[in-house]
Amino acid sequence: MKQLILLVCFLFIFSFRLFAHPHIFIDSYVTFVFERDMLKGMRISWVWDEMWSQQVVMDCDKNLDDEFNSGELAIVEEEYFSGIKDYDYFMKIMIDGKPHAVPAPVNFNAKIAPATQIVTYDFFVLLNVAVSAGKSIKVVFDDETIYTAFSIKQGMLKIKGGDIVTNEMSVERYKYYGCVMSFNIESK
Amino acid sequence: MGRDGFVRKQTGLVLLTLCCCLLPVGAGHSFENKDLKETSVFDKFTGWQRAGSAALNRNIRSLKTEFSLAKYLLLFVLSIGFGVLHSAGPGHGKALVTAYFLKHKDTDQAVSKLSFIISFVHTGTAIVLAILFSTILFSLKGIARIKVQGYFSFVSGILIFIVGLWFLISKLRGKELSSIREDVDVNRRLWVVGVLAGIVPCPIALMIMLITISAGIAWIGVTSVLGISCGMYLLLLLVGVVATRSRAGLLGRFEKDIKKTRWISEALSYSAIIVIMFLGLGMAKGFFPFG
Repeated sequence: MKQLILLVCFLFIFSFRLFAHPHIFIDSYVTFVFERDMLKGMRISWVWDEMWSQQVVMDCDKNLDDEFNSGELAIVEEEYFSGIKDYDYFMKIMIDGKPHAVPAPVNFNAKIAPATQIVTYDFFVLLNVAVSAGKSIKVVFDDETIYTAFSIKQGMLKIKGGDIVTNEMSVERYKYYGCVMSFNIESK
Repeated sequence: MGRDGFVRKQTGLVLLTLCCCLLPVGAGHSFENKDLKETSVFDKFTGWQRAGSAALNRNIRSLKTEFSLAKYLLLFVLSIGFGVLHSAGPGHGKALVTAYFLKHKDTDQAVSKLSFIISFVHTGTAIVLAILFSTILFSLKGIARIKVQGYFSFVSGILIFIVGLWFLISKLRGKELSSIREDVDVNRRLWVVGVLAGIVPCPIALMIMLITISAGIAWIGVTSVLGISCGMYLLLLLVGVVATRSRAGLLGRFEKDIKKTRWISEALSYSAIIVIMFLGLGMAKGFFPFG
């Protein structure tokens, strides 16, 4: 009887979590850019998986030269990036535990790796947040529809500029397929 | 093997089936105070999925530049393997098959039929959608296409919930099937459940079709997608057979106590029905397009 109860509990508790798995994979590289006592923003690179990259190349690299010219870049941004605005660009930003609005990224660029045709997006998320000792910064990459999985490793995170000292940044798994990066400002 | 050993094995199989369906459970936990190390079974699994889709993509690209029969056959075999791997991950199809076959007694033929319907409808809708995206819906690109797939998932979730509700109402009303109508009703149920579960277009199949249609090698895409369907079918068949065997084993434990057997059978049926409803709600919630 114990097994039956266990079985039923399993089914109930997890039936909400069974419906999907990711189909697109992103390796994320993030540089937190500081300027004096301000967190200016994040320079982000998203390296897409091969299958999705191939689709972007097929649809957007019109002259098949393995590069995106300005016209093609506009197509990539319009059709393969701006649409995720509805999902807050797959980001959540928390400053001192409070949610911070995710602004529209700027300086968007996309490139194709010649041999593999893997596509990388580069963009900047402007934050302009004053920092002081004790402030905590947490950034999440997560697609709530579970269509996209994110991967970040410790070496993919950097801090640049400013006269600040932080503790070591940590990266943890967020929900199913997301990642959360966090660190604290220790002193200026 | 003694009776107790047999019973333990069957009970174990039920739990193993569920574990297969519940792969995301491990992923639900945060790796508190630890750096993200991709060494868990779950992360490895995600890595294999990624490697699998990359292998398919490379093979298709290679066939595009230089066709050979060996490469073509390799693509088909790779696609079958990828289909098995891909459908071994968390997904509503497997959960639905498990719940459906825990719900009531069914034959292996019924398991095979439901697995076949789900697998081939799942990839078939992807082929149809790819053709639409390449023709009359040509203006839809990139993220917009993903949103369309989300609408399918939302609608499918709602319909799966309704089917669960239909099962529940039928059960509560104590509707017994006559032996003459039973085959017709089972068949109808399998088609309804199979089509509703499979109607969500397989995103990988869709990507493969879009890439190959765009490259003028759609037939290679269809071959790969058929291979993926075969792989999905094999995995769903395995899950369904294990579920039916497990149900029979669990009930067999109490075969001398008719009252208890009936009670357990009812408990499994109601639980499975409610799981089907929750699964539908979960999908609808996960892909809710109006918020």
